[in-house]
Amino acid sequence: MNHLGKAPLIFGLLFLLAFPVIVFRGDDRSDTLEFWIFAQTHYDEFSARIPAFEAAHPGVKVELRLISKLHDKLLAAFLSGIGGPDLSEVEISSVGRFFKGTKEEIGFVDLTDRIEREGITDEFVQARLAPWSLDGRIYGLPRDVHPVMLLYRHDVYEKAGIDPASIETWDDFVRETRPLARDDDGDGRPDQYPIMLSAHKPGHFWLMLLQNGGGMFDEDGGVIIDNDIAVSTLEFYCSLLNEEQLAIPEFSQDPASYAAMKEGIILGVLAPDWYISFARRFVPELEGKWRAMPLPAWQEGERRTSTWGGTMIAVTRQAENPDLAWEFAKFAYMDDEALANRYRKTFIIPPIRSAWSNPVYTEPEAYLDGQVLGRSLTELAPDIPGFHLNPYWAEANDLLRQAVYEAANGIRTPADALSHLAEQVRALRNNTTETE
Amino acid sequence: MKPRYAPYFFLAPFFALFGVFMVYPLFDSIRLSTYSVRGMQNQTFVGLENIERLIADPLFWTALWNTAYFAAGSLLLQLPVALALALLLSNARLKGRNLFRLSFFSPVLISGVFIAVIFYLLYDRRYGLVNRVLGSEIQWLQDPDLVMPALVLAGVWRWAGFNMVYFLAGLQSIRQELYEAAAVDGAGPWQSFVHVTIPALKPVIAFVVITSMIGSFQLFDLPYVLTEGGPGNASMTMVMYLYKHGFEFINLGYAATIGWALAVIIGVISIIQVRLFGVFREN
Amino acid sequence: MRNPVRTTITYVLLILLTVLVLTPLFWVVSASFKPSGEIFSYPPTFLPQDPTLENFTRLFQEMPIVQYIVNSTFLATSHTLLLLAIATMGGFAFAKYSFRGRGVLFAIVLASMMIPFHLVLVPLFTLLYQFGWLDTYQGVILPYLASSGFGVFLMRQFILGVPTDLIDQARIDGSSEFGIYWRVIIPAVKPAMGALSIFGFLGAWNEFLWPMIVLRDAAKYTLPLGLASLVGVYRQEYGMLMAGTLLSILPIMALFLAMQREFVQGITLGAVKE
Repeated sequence: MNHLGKAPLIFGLLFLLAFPVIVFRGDDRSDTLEFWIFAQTHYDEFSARIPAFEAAHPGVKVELRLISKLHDKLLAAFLSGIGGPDLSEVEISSVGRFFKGTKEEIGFVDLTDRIEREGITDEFVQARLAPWSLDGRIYGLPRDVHPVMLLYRHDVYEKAGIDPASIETWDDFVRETRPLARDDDGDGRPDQYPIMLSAHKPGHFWLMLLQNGGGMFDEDGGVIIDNDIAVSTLEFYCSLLNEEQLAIPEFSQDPASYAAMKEGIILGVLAPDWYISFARRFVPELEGKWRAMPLPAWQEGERRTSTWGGTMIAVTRQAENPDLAWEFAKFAYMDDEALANRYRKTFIIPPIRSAWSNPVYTEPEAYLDGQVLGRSLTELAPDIPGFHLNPYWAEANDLLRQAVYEAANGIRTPADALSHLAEQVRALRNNTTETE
Repeated sequence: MKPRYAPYFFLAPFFALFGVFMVYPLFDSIRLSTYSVRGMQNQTFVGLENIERLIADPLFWTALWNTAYFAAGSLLLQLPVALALALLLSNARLKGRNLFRLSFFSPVLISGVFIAVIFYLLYDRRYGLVNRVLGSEIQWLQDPDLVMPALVLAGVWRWAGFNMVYFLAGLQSIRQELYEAAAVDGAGPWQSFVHVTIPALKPVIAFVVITSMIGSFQLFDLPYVLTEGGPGNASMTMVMYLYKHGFEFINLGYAATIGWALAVIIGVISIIQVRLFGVFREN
Repeated sequence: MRNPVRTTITYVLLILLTVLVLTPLFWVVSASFKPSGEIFSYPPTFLPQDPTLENFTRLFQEMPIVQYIVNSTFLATSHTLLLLAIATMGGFAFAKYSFRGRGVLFAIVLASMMIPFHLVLVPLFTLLYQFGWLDTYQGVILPYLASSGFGVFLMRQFILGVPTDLIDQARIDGSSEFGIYWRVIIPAVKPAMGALSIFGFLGAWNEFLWPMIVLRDAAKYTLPLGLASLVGVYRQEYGMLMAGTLLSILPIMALFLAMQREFVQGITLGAVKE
C-alpha cells in the first residue's frame, strides 16, 4: 500500500478507528421515552430525577437529550414526520412556530382532556396555559410563571439614602435613582447605572410593554404593537437610555453583564425569578448586597410585575406511547417536592397554586440579604400579564428586535419604529394567509 | 473495461453526485421558489409572488449589502495582506520559514464557530483584549458602523494565511531570470514587482479572487455566532437570512428564492471576473 | 540575503505579524486555563491569575466530548477518502483521455466550482427528507461531495504532468485501465493527494451549518456542533468552550504538521500551472 502515499493511509487508518464505534453504537430505542430539552439547568434537574421514574416504571428508559437549536430541529422533525422525540420542552417565544399549519399538522398531542381528567385545570395560573393553547385546546403543561421583580443593590441605595418603598411607579424610579447615575471620571458617560436596559435586544422592552398592558397581537391575532400603550412605553424606555442616561444600553444577558455587575457598574436589573438564580451563580461576590422589589408600576396602584420567558412540556404525536409520555410529563412538572427542589436551585415559581404552600417558599434567601424571595414571587405570580399564542410570533419578535434597536439608537422615533414594525407584521400575515 | 468507456467510468462518481446533490436541487429551488411551503406536504403554487416579496423586502437588500461589503472588504484587505505575507516569506533562505508559514496558516485550522467565540471575547468593549491594547472603549460589535469592519478583520485573520499559501506557491514558480532581466533593464524592486511579479501571478490572483469571493458570499458562522446579525440587522448576511427563513420560519419557498437570487448574483460576478482575468479556459 | 537592512526589516515584520496572528490563539490557550470568573474581568488578564484545569475536567465530565471527537473523525475521514477517490479518478479522465464531450464536461467541472454549496440548502434539505436521509451521516457527507469540482480540477492539473509514456508502457504490459489508474497515476500524485486531503479534512472537520441542519440527535454531533451548545442564553461556559476549541485544534495541527511537506508541494504544483 506504500504507493498510495501518506494521506490516504493516515486518513484511512483514522477512518478505520472511528468506523466501528459509529456502526456498532447501540441504537436500541424500545421502551425508551426520548425527552428533548434546551437548557443545562433543566438537564441537571431531570437527570437527577429520571432514575426515580424508571424505578417506578420497570422496563422503561428515559433518554434525556440536551439539544442545541432545539426548536429548529423539532420543527424539522415534525415537518418530516420522523426523528422527533416522545416529549419535548418548548420555549415560549418559539412556540408559535409550531402552530402555523392546519390543526392536523400540529405536532403536539392535545392534552386538554388529560389535564381535565386530572382535575387540575384550575390549579394552574391561567395566564400560563394561554401561551400553548389554541381554540380552547391545551397542547402543553407550563413549567413556570416567571414573575419579574427589580433586583437592586440595597447597599448602594442605603448609602445614597434611597428608600425602596418610595419607588412605586416608574416616575418615582427615575426621580429617586437619578443621583445614582454618576459620572466620576468626567467622560460624559455615567460610571454606574441604576438599571440595565438593552438597546439591541427586545427582552427588557417586551416585559415592560406586557406590564403596561400592551403586546404584539390581541386575542384575535390583530396587530397592536403600534397602539398608544406601546408607543408611550417605548418612548419612556428610550428616555431612560438616552435623555436620562439611567440605563446601561449594551447588555441583555451577556456574560460581560455579570462582570459589570460585579464591578458595581450595574445597580439594578429587571429580573424574572430564574434570572435571580443566574445572578447568584454568576455573581456570587454580591451575596447580601442585592434585594428584589416589585417592579415600579406604570400608574399608581397598577400591576407591579411582568413576565419574561417560559417553558412548556409537550407530548409529540410521534410518541409511541402517549400515555406513558403523559405520565412522565406529570412526573417532571407536577411533583410537589421536585418543584420545591427546583425552587431551591433556580428560584423558579411553579404555575400550580397549591404547590406554593410548601415551606420552601418562606425560606429567607442569603443571596438577597435574607429576604423571603419565595413569598414576594408567589404574591406577584397571580398578577402576571397574559400572552397570546400566535403563529407569527417568531417572525414578529425578530422584527421587534429591529424596532427596539432603531428607537433606542435614535435611528427612528419610537412611534415611527413601531408603526413601521406594525406594518411589517401585518404584511407578514398577509404574505401567508392566502394559503390557509 | 474498454479504454473507450474508461473516462466515463472514472467521471461517473463526480457527475452522479453533482447531478443529484447540486444540479437537481438547483432546478428544484426554481420550482420551490414559486411555491408557498408550510410543511413538507403542504405546498401552494404562488407564481412570482416570492420574487415580488423579495424585491420589496428591505431586509433582503440589507443582507445583500452586508454580504457584498464583506466580500469587498475581503478582496481589498485580505488579499493584499495575503500577498504581503507571501512576499515576506518568499525568500527560500529565510530562517524559520516553516514556522512562520505554519503560524500564518494556523487560523485556517479552526472552525468558524470557535473563531466567532474567540473574537467575541477579544472584541468585548470592557473585558476584551482589543480595546485593552488600543486603550479604547470601542463597541466593536454593537456599533452598526463598526460591526462589518470588525467581521472583515476577523475574516482577514482567518483567511489571509490560507491565501498566502497560494501566493507563495505562485511566487516560487516565477523564474529568477525574469527578475535578473528586469534588473539589467534598471528596474528597482517596485518596478520589478509591478512588471514581473504581478503579471506572473495573474492566474493565482484570479484563482484566489474568485474563490475568496465565492467563500465570502457564503459567510454564515462568524456573524451567526458572533453577532446574531446585529446590532439591528447590521451584520445580517445572505446565507443567514436564507437560514432564518428556511429553517427557523420554515418559509421554504421564500428561502429557495433567496438562494436562487444569491446564485444569480454570484454567477454574474464570477462571469465578470473570469472575463476580466481571462482564465479558466482549458489551456 | 544580500542586504542586511532588508533582512532585518523582513524579520521584524515577520515577527510582529506572527505575534499578531498568534495572539487570538494565545487567548484561547490562556482562557482555557482561567476559572470562569476570570475570562470576563477588568482589566483583562493576559495570563491566568489562578490557572486551573477545571475547564478540561468539566468538559470530559459534562460533555460527551470523546463521542464528538469520534463522530467528527468519522465524518471528516469518510469525506476525505471519498473526495480523494472522486478527484483522482475524475482528474485522470480529463488529463489522459480524449473522449467525446470532454470539453463540455470539463467546463461543467469548472462552473461547479463557482456554485456555493449553501445556495441549495433548502432544496437539498427537502431532497434528504425524500431519501429518508435526515439525521444520517450519508446525508451529511454525500451532498457535500457534490462540491468536489475543485479536487477534480486540481488532480487534472497534476496528472497532466505525469508522462504519457508511463501509461502507454503499462498498457503494452497488459494493464487494465483501472490498473493504470491504481498503479501508475495514484503513486504519481501523492503530494497532490496530500494537499487535497488537507483541504477536504479541514473543510469537513470544521463545517458547521450543514451538519447542524442535517443532524438532530445530539449523539451524532460533531465537535463544533456539540461545543457550540456551551454558550448561549441558557449557558455561558466560555472557559469550557475555549478548552474544547484547543482540543479540536490539536489533532488538526498534528495532521497538518505530519503532511505539511506534501501540502506545500501539492499546492505549489497545482495552483500555479494554468
